[in-house]
Parts: sequence; structure tokens; C-alpha cells
Amino acid sequence: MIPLPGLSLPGLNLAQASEPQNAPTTIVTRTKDLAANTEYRFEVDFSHTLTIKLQSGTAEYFGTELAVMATYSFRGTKGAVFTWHGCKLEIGGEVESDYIAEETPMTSCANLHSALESLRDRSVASGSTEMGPRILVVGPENSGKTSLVRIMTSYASKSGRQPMVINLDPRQGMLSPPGSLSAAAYSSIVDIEEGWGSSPISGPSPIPVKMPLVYHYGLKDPEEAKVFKPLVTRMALAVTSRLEEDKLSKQAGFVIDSSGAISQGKNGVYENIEHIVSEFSVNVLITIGSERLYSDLTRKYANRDPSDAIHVVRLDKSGGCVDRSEEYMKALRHSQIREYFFGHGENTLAPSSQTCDFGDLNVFQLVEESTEPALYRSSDFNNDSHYDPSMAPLTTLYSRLTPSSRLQNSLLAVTTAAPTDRQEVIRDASIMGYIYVAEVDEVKRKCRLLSPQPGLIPGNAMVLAPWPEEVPGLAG
Amino acid sequence: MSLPAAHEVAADFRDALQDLRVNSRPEISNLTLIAKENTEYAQAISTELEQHIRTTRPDFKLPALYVLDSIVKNVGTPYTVYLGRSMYKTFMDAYLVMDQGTRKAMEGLLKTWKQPVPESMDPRPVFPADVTRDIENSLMKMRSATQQHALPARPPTVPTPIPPPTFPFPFPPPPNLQFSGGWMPPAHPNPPAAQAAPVVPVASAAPRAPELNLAVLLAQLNGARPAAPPIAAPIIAPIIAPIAIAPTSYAKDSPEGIRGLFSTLKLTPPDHVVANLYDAKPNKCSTCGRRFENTPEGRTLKADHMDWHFKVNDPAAKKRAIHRSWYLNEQEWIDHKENEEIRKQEPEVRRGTTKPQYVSVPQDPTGQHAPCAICQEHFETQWNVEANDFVWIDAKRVGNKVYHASCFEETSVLGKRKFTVV
Repeated sequence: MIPLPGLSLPGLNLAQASEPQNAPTTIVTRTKDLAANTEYRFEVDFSHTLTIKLQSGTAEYFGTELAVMATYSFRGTKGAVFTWHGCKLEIGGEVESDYIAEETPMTSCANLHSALESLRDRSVASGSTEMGPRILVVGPENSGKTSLVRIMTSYASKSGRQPMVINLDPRQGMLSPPGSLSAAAYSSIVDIEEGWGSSPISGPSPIPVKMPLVYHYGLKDPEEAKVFKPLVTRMALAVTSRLEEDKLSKQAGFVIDSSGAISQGKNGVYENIEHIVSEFSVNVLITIGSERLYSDLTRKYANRDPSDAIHVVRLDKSGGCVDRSEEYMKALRHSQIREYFFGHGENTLAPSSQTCDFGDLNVFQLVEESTEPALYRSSDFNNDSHYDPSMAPLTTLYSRLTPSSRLQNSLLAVTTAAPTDRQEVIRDASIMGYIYVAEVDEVKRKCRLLSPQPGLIPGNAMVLAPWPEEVPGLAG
Repeated sequence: MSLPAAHEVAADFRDALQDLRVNSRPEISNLTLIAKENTEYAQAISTELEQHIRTTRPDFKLPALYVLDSIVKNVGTPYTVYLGRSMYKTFMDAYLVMDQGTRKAMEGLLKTWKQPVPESMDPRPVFPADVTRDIENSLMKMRSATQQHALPARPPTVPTPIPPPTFPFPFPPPPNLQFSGGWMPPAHPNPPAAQAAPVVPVASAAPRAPELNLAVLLAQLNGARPAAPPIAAPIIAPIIAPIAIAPTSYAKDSPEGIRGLFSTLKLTPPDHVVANLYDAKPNKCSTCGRRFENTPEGRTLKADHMDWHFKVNDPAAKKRAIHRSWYLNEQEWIDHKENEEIRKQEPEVRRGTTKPQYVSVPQDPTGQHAPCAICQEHFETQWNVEANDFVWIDAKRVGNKVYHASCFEETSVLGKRKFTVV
């Protein structure tokens, strides 16, 4: 890698800096023998690295098979390696906790996979006129939704399918930093170490990259803001159009991962679930770990026309699900953001640090009654278009923002919309990526930005949102 | 009555069964003898045997099936009745986890069950026809289902070891495959001589039924296919319903048409599902664990895949500064195909249309020494006749910055698809 002149990239050194106590020579390895149908569960924090090597037998990590004698490293991960046939694992490094579990949900997963496969076969048999299964997974926080989605995706792709995965949980990004909603087809294996894998980079990637379509939501929960529903509608439109073009994906159908927040509901009414179901024409609704949710949704969708019946399925929560502390989630978000700019593990990326004038940036921020009033107190900002009389206050989605020191350490979503576009267009636009505001000089009216790639900073509309929170010190 | 309790007999039988790991005639004879002398415990023994076949390691399943075969042929009722009840499940569960060679042996076994016990006075087949027919139908459907996945039809030549077995239906059966009469009865478990049981003569396993049978099945299958598309939602419910049910409570199902195919799948135990994820693709990439079928197509795919690994590990490519690309926009994403052929061709197409680009060397001294804003390397200066000036080759001016045209292209939206292979 060629170091860019006059530029320090502390993020690059962070990986080495944070593991001083882990001198590679002192890693003691141990072996674990797993009987068939058991899984090795582990939790490792962000300051330690756990390595797992499959010595013999077969093993899978959320459905993705491990290569024999390859070393996989995990950091800041709560995961499980399952074996159908029994295996021997070599474990290295320190963990917070680990154990071997004999009760696993994998039988249900395999049966579920088998049922979904038969629906996909039906789509193939219909000459792709019929769409494959359209699945939505719902359940409370930490009930194993994403794990199930990963297992279903891996199994489908191992069966030669090309399933689409749609992430509607802004707390965790998929192929993109948190705060975003994304969709991607999985035609090859899902990565083991790097969550869902990587979005495209300018060079070769050791794991096939995935092509996500990304939208910026910018809040923690779908329940928080009115922009969630229009975004879902927009994504459903894009996904449906793609599936019409893409026969393999159409046959495989899609799986939607959701946020625990939408499963709380209000008095048994789940507005956002209903919205997703209707926009995406969901026909298989999987509930995990909540009897109440299952019963409410079963009742809700019981009396539908058989031709577009919605099948509500109940799965038990895996014993491996652990509550993730807010502290852990924050560390996870920060590591996802860091990976977006700097890459994962040994596959380092070189973002570009650039300086630009305030005038070159077109930053908007979300105005919602539910956001903190302090965020859009007009006195904080220069207000060119803030009080534009042509926009009625109730329909105002965004206010234009002049960069100030408040922007420092924030992520800006670079949309595909022009700054002159209508606000709805900006809201519904997919994004090109994120840039990070490293420094704001209010006197000189200049910002130092970290952009994922060199070249001009796009003049597109950019959106600042309160979620994810500021990440201090990402770029010196 | 000093008769031992049923569970004691069953336990003895189980112990003997657990020692059976290879196709050993004395051991199989001994087990058959236990079964023959304890017909009053036939139910317990049958259950024991079924359970053993279900739970034992795949490579011990075939000898156990030979015990079953020996018992039904030498003792007959009531074992035929007890074992016949869940024969479908016993057979299919085992079949699905077997390798190709063992599957063939099992197909041979199945074939003998459709015929009378050799040299027996009883003209009826070993198992009633409905038992064997269901199994055969499922094997057939499994093959045709597998074929829907395969891209081109497999050449009807060598019986390549493909689990699950795809003998080249719907092509005519090739010579030397199981239907051509060259079949050998399981070369082992011939009944204990002491019981004066008939020895299975090789020739008696004649190829008479199979051809006919194949035709019948073909007709059934073709008849069933067109009925496929309609019948939408109502089918889905039974498929989805039993997910949480443990895979033990199966009933034998006789598949009819497409509906039958689905209810068969519904009843498929995880064994089958797992076998499809693992054993069906025995050819595993040692770098990333991805699996490929052991077929010519599978091998081609794997070779491409290994080339891809090699390419992405190219140290030269790693030396360059790599960065995250911008995401696709909606229209690009909608048009994007994960299809490999398209991806492979893309760079070629682009290269062909790229014209040599250059910009005149800037007049101001700082500009003259400015490197490419992307790779930070200096430009190559040349005299260009057409421009009548010194120019930078492979350069492109965007705004007030100059880039290598190739660098710029790589970072632009089009360029980022170059490495998204396999």
C-alpha cells in the first residue's frame, strides 16, 4: 500500500495497537471434540482474538462451512460453531466464556430450510412466474433473528440458490455501517469472520464481495421516525424490480431481517411489521422467541385469501442467544464503521483524507418531531434554507445545515440525489456511501473529511443523522 | 412362564447388532438366528433393528440393512410386517446419507425385495409391492429433482459417483448400470446354511421387471409434471407446519404427483437435508470451505473458483492502495447480475472501448510536478504530434485535478465490478 503523503491514518494502526497483550507466541491452543449435532459457543470481546481451526470432521458457522485446517479469527464476537457430523476444533486465544451445547435449534433450521427449498423448487417448476419464498423474521432483541437469517441464507446459497437478504435493522448494518438499510443477493458463501462479508472494494477481496443497495435511515429504531415506512416502500420497489430481472434471485426469494423494536407493537398492533409484510408481499412470517407475537400475528393473518396466505411460523429462541450490552453494541457499531473505511483484519483499505470548503458540502439533517429539539435549534446553524416559506413546517423532512464543529466525528450519508432535489427524493435516494467528518475549521470554513475513496467529494445531497452516534478519532 | 422379557431379548439383539461393523456373514447369520428363535419378540427386535439402522454411522448402515434383508428372507413373517411398516423411512434415511457405491448396493437390495425369495415356494415378493414402489418413486423423484439443478443434462456415459445418484434419466439407461441385468445380489449375507435356507442364485435376480418399471415411472412422472404450477398457498401450510416437530414422527407417505413430491419433502428428515448440504457436494475447496459437486460441471466450477482464489491472492494486486468503492445506485443494482459469465466478460468489453487518453502538460511549475491524485505517482511525459505539445499519457483531467485515466476509471462506478467474481 502506498502511504498518502502528509496524512496519518491512525485507524490503520488500531488493529495492532489494541492487542498488545496478545503476543502471538503466547497463544496456547487447545482442542475440543464435538459430538454430532452439538455446537461450540463462544464470546470474545474486542480486545482479544479467538482463533478456531477445524482439524477434522465438518463444522459450520451460522450455516457457512469451515474449511479444514484454515484458521479463522474472531474478535468482539458472540458466535457458535455447529457440527452435523462431529468434529475436532483447535481453539486459540482467550475468550470471555465458551462451552459446548447439545441443545441447538439446528434441527428446526434444517427442516425450515427443507420447506423453503420446496417452495423454491415450485418457483423453478413454474418457470419463474411464481416467486420463491418471501420471508420476514421478527422477534424481540437478542432472540437470534440475524443468526437465523444467516443460516437460511448460507443453506440456500449452498443449495445453489441466490437468495436476497434485506436488512431493515438500523442497529446493525449489513455490508454497510449501522444506521443504514440494505439489500443484497448472496450468490456465493457468506463470510465467516467479517459478518455478512464485504461490499465492493477497488482491489481483490479474499472473500467474494457482495453488491448491496444501501439506504440511509439514520435513527436507532424504525419506530422512531416517519421516514422508515417510505424507505421500506422504496426498497420493496427496488427489490421487486431486481427480482423481475434476476431469475435466480426470484426463484430463491428473499429473507428480511428486522429490528427487535418493530416486534414490540402497541396493544397488539404491529404497524411496521404490517407495512413490511404488505410492501414486500411477505408470505412466510417467522417469529422467534415470542409466543405473544406469534399468537398476535397468527390472528392477524388468519383470514386471508388462500391465494395470498401468509404463513406464520414459530421458532424457539436458541439457548445460545445472549443479551448484548449497550456497551458491546456500541463497540460493534464502531468496529463496523471502522471496517467500512479501513477494512477488516489483514485486508486493510486506504481511505482518502481530503479538505474541502464549506460551500462544497450540501448537508441536510433529518427533522422529525421525535428527534431532540436541540438538534435543530435554528440558532446553532446558519439558516439559508431553514425557514423557506415554500415548505410547510409539517412536511419538512430535512433542514439544510452549514457545517459547524457539531459535525465533527459524524458520518454523512452521501445520497445519489442532487441537493436541489425535492426532499422526498433525497429521503428515498439510495446512498453511494459514507464520509466521515474528521475536523471542522469554522474560521477558515473548511472541513477535513475521510472519504472511502480518492477523487472528488461528490456534490450530492448528504444526510446527517443522529444514528449511529459520533465516532471520535476515526481519522486522527 | 420363564420367558425372558421382551426388552432383554431386544437388548441382546442390540448388543450383537452394535458389534456389526462390516459385512460379515457369520455375524449376520447369528443375528438372523436370534431373530428366528425369538419371533414372539419380533416387534421389539424390529424396532431395535430400525433404530440401529437409523442411528448408526453411515458406513455401518449397510451391514445392518443386510441383517434386515437376511431376516425378512429367512424368517419372513412377522418381521416382514413389522419392518415393512416403516420400510420407506428406514430405507430412505439410510440411502440419503450413503455414498454412491453403497447406494448402488441398496438399489440392488431393493430390487431383490420386489421378487419372491429365491427358490421359495411362495410366489409373492419379499415385501408387498406398495412398500417397494413408494421407495422407488422417491428415488426417481430425487433424481429428477437433482436434475433440475444441474445446468445441462449429464452425459449418459460413465456412472460418475454423484450423490444423490443421477443416473442419466431421462436418457435410455446406459449399459452396465443397475438396470441392465448385470446386477449382483449383495455378495454377503446369504442366509445361514444351518437353517437350510435357500442360497440366492445370482441368475435369479433377473432383469425382467426393471425396464417395465422404468417406463411406468417415466409415464407417472411425465404425467405429474404439467400439473405442477397452480395449487398455490394451500400446499405451503403443511410444508411449513411441522418445522418444530422432531424428525422422528414420520408416517410413510405414498407420493402422488407434485403434491406427493411436496409431502415427501415435508417428511424428509434432516438427514436428507444435511446430506444435500454436505455429501451431495463432496468436492470441498480447501481455502474457503465452499463445496462443489463431483461432476464435470462441478469440477469446472471448482477450477474457476480456484483460479479466482489464486487471482485475489496475487501479491502485485495487493501492493496497490485499495479502498472501498461507492455503492451501486438503484438502477445499476437492479440491472446487476451475479451471473459469472457477465462478470468475466466485463473487463474485456471495457478495455476495447477505451481510447488512449492524455492531457497537455500544465504550464505552471507546481502543476507540472503534480502526481496523479489517486495513486500519487507521476505521469509519463511524451511529445504528442496530434496535440503538438508535451502530454501526459494515460491522464484525464477532472475538475482541476489530473488523474491517471486508468486510476480514475477504476474508482468510478463502472470500474468497481472488476473483482466481484465467483
